Amino acid sequence: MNAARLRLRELGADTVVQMTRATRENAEWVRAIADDGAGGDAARRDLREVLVAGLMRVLTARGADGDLCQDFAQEALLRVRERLYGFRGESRFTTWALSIAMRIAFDELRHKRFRDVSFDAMLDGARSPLAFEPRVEATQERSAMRERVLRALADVIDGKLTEKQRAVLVAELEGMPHVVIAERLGMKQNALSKLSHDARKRVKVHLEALGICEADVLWVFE
Amino acid sequence: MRLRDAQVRSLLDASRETRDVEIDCDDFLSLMAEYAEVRAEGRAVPEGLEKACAHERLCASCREELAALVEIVSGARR
Repeated sequence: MNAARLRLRELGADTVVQMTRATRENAEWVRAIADDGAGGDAARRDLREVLVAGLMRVLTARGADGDLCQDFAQEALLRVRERLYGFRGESRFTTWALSIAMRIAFDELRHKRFRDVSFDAMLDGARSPLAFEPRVEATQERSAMRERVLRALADVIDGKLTEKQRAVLVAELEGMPHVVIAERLGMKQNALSKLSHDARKRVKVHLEALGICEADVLWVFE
Repeated sequence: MRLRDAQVRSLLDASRETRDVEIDCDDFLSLMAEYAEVRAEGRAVPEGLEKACAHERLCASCREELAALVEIVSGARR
């Protein structure tokens, strides 16, 4: 392990405290990060330390080691530079840079977590008719309401969603993140968001049309 | 396809939270830093961030990233 990495390993949460209270104002950060000279190098080094310390603080418990956090920070630094002039100054610069690092790191960890999960098996499941786990309710009234809600869900999911909407809905319910679903379906994430929104909207409209209200749902399922 | 009760609840929650106009995960990212600071400081969510708040309720991935960022920012403020 080189000296820089050893030092970063020794840095704890306190580093985040110190760095996010760094003396640079937002405008100064933007200027310095854009600077290709020595001043820019120092700012990029400082920002990198902020990113690594922040990543280590939240990712160590999720199984990411120092080297991986270094890699995430490096990628985030590149993306920060690419998006530098999109920074609107509505937060501290370091918080903004950390938000970009969070997205990069968590997306990568999501891809790893679902690497061995078969999407095809999930799609096969999505093609079969909807069923629900049996449950005995305390009263007949409650049981009837449960039946009514579940039948409504089966009707809309089996009958009113497209095959792709069903697939997305099922993958979401199985806990698969959008970044992974989009990759498996070969779609852009914003197109996937639209697909998911349209599916949820159809479910909502169908339940409302049948007069199934929030109170009914809460009564049976909360 | 057999849905467990927890999945049914999750679907019903998502349906209830669905709005005609929603932001997506990229839009959320552009608001996340500001929203994380608001949350870390315990301030009321301003009008401009309500859409981020709505997206947070719907999207587990963005919720996870936001929680991590709030943890870092809160740590930095102590």
